[in-house]
Amino acid sequence: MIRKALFTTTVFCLAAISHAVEPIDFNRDIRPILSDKCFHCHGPDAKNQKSDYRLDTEENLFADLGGYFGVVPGNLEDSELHYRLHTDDPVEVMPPPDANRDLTKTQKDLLDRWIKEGAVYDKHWSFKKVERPEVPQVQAVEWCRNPIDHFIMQRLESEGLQPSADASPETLFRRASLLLTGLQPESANAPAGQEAYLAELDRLFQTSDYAERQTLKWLDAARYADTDGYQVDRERSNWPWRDWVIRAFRENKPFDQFTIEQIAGDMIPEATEDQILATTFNRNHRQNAEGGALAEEFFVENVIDRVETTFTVWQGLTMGCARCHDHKYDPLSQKEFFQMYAYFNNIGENGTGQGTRANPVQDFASPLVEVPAEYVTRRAEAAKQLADAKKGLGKRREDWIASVLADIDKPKDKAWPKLKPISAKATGGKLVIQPDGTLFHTGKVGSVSYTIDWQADSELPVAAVRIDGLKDPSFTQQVGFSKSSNGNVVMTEVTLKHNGQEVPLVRAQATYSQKNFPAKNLVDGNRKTGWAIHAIPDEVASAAVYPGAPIMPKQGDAFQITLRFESPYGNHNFGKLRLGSTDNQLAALEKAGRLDAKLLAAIKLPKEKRNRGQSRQISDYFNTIDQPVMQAQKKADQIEKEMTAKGYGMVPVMVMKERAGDRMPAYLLNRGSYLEPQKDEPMQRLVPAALFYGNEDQQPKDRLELAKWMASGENPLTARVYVNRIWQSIFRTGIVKTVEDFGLQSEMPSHPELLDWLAAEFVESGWDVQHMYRLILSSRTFQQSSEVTADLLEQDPENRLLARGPRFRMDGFAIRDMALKSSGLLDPRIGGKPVKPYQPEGLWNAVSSGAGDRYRPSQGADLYRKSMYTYWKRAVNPPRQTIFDSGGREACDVNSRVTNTPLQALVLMNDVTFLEAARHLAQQSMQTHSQPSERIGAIYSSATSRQIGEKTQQILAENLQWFIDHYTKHPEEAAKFLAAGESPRDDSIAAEEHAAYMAVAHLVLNLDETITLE
Amino acid sequence: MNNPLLDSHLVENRRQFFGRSAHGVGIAALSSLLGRDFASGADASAGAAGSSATGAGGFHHPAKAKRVIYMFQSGAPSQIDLFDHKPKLQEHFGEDLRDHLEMTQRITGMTKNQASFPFAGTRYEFSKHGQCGTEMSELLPHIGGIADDICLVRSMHTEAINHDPAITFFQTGHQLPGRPSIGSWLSYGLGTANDNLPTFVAMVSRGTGRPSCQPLYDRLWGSGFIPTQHAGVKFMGVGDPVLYLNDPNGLDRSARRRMLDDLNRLNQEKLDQYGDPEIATRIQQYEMAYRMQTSVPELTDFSDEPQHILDMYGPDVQKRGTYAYNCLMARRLAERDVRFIQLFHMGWDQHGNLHGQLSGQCRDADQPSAALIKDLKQRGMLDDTLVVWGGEFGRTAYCQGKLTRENYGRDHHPRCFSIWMAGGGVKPGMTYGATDEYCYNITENPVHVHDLHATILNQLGVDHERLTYRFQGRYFRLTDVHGHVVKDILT
Repeated sequence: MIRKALFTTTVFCLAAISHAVEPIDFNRDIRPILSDKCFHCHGPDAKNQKSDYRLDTEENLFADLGGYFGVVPGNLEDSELHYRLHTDDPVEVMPPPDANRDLTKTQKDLLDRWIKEGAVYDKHWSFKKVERPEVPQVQAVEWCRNPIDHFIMQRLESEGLQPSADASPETLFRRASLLLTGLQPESANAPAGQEAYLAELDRLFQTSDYAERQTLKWLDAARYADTDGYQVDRERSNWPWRDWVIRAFRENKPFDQFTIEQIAGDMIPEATEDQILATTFNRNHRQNAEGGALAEEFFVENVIDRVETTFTVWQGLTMGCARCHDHKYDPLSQKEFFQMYAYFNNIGENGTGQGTRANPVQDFASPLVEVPAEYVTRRAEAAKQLADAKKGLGKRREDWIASVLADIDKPKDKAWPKLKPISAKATGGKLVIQPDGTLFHTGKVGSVSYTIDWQADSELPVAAVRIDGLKDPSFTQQVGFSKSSNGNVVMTEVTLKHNGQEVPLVRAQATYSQKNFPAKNLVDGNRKTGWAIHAIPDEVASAAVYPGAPIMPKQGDAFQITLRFESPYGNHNFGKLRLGSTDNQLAALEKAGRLDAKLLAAIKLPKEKRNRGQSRQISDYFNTIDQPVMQAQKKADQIEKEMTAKGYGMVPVMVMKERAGDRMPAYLLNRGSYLEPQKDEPMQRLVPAALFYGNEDQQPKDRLELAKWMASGENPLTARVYVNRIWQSIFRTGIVKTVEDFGLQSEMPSHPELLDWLAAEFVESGWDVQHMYRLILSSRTFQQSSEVTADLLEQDPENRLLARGPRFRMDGFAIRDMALKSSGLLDPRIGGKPVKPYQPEGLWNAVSSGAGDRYRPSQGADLYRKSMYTYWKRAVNPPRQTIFDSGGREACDVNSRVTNTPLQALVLMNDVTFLEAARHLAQQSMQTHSQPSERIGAIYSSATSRQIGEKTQQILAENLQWFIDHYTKHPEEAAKFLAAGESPRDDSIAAEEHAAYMAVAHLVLNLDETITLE
Repeated sequence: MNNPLLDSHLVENRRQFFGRSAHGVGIAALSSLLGRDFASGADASAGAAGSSATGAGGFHHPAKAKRVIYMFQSGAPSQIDLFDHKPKLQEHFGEDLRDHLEMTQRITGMTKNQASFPFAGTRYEFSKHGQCGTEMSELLPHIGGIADDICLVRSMHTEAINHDPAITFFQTGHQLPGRPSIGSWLSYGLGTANDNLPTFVAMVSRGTGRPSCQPLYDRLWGSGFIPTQHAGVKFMGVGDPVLYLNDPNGLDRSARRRMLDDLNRLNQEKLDQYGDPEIATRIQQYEMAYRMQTSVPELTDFSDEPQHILDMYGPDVQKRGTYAYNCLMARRLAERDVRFIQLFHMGWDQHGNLHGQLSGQCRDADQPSAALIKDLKQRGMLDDTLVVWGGEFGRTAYCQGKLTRENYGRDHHPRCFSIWMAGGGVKPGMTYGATDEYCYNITENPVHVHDLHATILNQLGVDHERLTYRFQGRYFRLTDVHGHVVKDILT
């Protein structure tokens, strides 16, 4: 990493100078060299390296190598390590010249000094338990406002650096506001004095903006997206979990609880729905639905993703490196990797298929979205109707069972008595009833439907109705059933009425179906799908449709059936047909597939002999065929569907759900490949020994215990890793720069004691995230000016020592949100379905599997939701976000990146989002102020939360004048410029003037200071 | 300041900046600014981390090629019907593969439950082309016509069997997402060679043979864990050629210039007050964007191309978003020293109706691909432009679905397939590697994906073992811990 290299250069030199008088610290000075330069061949991955000599543990480092030693404390001459590093012999020198791992002279000197000073060994710092260090004494004690400042000042004093002056109140408050909420403050009136500032911080913590901002960072870590990824990349609906996270941050849920619920909420005794929803964290992985993808392979990938993500997020370790072999640097063996795997493989998932169906899946509504009263009422009514419908259900069920049992003893009537139509109509052509009761259609038609009536001539039950398509010499020979070009038929839907009431049809089957045109399409409620018969070998094409339970007619009852042939293919309707029905529901049910042998067996058992499972099976089944329940259920479903479309309803969410019974075995996978499980040794569930404090029998036995271990103060890493990420979000770089890696290859903390002090504070505060932010934001360190001087730039270009405040460009999410806020367009709704703001045309359809896969932008207020709600498609990321360095949400991402490219300038220059925002920003200022200088000042303040300076005012006034002249000369240009965006414009404002102010506002939205946290 | 695009201008700007700044920022800052740009410089002195690429331009050894044009054929073209003639398959037409071979290759979920695996001999004629006599199918007459300029590798192999992992492997050296793509590695390692255009450009076209096909994804030209400015810039087939390139309606160039001038004045003002070098970068970022706005329209304007050149690329050349258009665009980008030009042509996934689909795919790809080679050659650019043509795996010798003499389908076959390369120090007029008579296994000179990557880097003067990026405590390489330069095919 290039920046890392630079940092190491600068600070390493500083360290070397200031440490010249200090003794060597193994963790700080020695292990990083050994790890980086030697472990690849002399490290923990003993199986895959040529040499037996290892430098990764104390035992190995000082081992007797057969009369000589790698390291002899205090004795340089007898230490083989010293000899190997310095020899000129090309065979003996280490590292070998072709390894590309040469040591610098400084590094060799450090190793020598370490040996001379006694070669003191120490456990890797981040694996040691956190102990709260003493707050150091400093000379500039009056400068310090809280303990953080002592740690910072101690280092500044040792480096001979002075802190910067305090930032102005308006700069400071804007900085705090951008950090906590991702939005600029409402006005340039900043709180004066510490007390007022702290009160404002407390107010910010109470806003949803704060919770949303924290959530956004968590979404990157949790690889949250709105599609499945891989090549098929279908939509999924895990967004209720995103809203769960927002609410957790809004309530300031303690981080240990936050952790336990997300890792193992499903296993908490008496787990609430909410706790189950939390576990989506580990189901945000990609899900492969590619045609040829093998479930076993992607099952393994999903579980491994969980292990890697969990370890990166909570432990800051690159556990994934131990998938294929023992870790090259860290004391994590491949076996330990798969022991960790064993905690996460037991949820009974299928490795492939669409996410919304990738069990375990459970329906959830957003915990944030408030359902409008109208829906609450309608839903309650539907629920009541359903409850009413269930009255008498028991009796109906018993009657039904009796009728089924009665049928069992009847001879099975395979014949389907023919029905005698009394009227027949077609929407096109003519449908004629022939003397023998068959129907014949004449005329050429496109799409057509038939409606046929008959009367019950007995009281025999109607268990099914059958439609027989018949051949005729006048039809097209190839298939033979119609006058279409090939004689094929596509029947799209069948509906049945009894005495004018529609009878829901629950299934259909056919004697023959063409591929991709199954009979079930006849009753799926979708007139775009159908049943077809191309290549049928038979003389009769029959399809039967089934009501849930047999209809019990009275003599003379009216029946009506409607057959639809509404496919896009012309004349694909049966030219000749007849209808029949059967009373033997058992005959029908046996074939239907839904009444399976187990169910039939259960029905045959006397009531008292059925066990609970069997009774349950019967009642579950009957609920799907009981007419009153079905009708009420249909209505309830309809309301849910409507609510879902509006984002109020329940959607399927992928969750964790530990399987009951024996657990799924886990094996070490040789080379990490699903094809090579080492079945001779099932993996126990164990956490890596290097991280575990306690007796073996206290090892976590399941995922819940694992979660509790992660969320305990005993865990050496969790608190350190999370406070480091908080630090990164505030100062751009963590105390440990490698936020994703706290292992042996990590970069040493710039302030190790401060990190431990913060970690201890975090645990003791009850894992209070807001407390940590408050603490850091109230430090003097944070409140320094971020002006850069030549000295500071030279001594500390990356501002790791913090002799100045943070200054960096905001991310793409915030830059858009800030522009929307300054213009008054930002929609304040929280949570809910993802939205689709403006996006350049053609992005989706250029690369998707079908050219028709288009991005359809949202409408109205949804265009102005916060960027965190933008629909995240993994295959084609929202361009604004990725151009500004956002990751792709394919995998866990905890780094923060800030690069600068011309593409970013192009977004701010030309994206309609910023033009429309500028138009509104200009409009607002013109509506509230009359003087040009006031208007310019208002535009500037809305965007930057600062009072405008004289020079800026002057440049912007010149800019305004130029554009007024320009648009007065080119009024047609003004009209075009003002047309940006969907939202309406205040027509009472003169267009030329409005356009000129819009240009000024647009310039202001492009300013470095507008998009920068300063 | 992190953008190699900006580099030469930054130097100039830094002089202005350091000359003017009240704070008199020193030389250390300058070197830190410079050092961030490349995988070079600072590391050597740091001796700690980062890449070990060296020197300005970052070459490890003299380069044969200055740039790469990679014509990726997404979906996996059938080597058996295009490049690797197997008369035995025709001879044993319809016989079960298992009667002839031990079937050790794993099979996708699409055909693993198939009752039989009948050999499908190609229905196409093969003939020898050029002086070298390389055998190719009648579907590729134009590529046949450049046989003496290309090196056909018949012994490629890969590990993935599904599209997503396989294409991700080809583009990033790893089956799972998260790694930088080849072009990003080169941008990171070598920096830019031009002032006004991106270093790495990607273009996508949809095949007419199979318009509904395997999708593509942003990460195929993404920069993974290396900084974002090394990601490929996608040239669009519709709308602005580069996202957000065009000025909005109602803002003409004079107005845009005025806006940028005043923006620069204000940013300069801030820089003078605040001294943060990031602000200087911001100013340059906008100037670079402005220059791109000028240079891209000139790039995409084909009116300066003579008719015979347009004719050479075929009838679709003027149609944005087609493969032919992208091929000519690739030549124009190459002329402007864009370092890595990545084309993706979709639709090569012939599981069924191979005859119907493949003829359309070849009609799209054959003439323009050959035209690009000829065009580069006649301009003397083929010598320093490395061209690669191929898909993500091969196709099976056995039929998927219904087999007839006229039509059949083929499933995925990663064990052996063909690609071709040209220019940039690759031997012309040769074939390399061979497969057995059923095109099931490689019999000679296997070339792995990592080997291809090592070879591409090698031709650009980069040692694939030494171009590294440290992430998560590891030194990552495009070729992971594998890869050998295929020296046999190099001049």
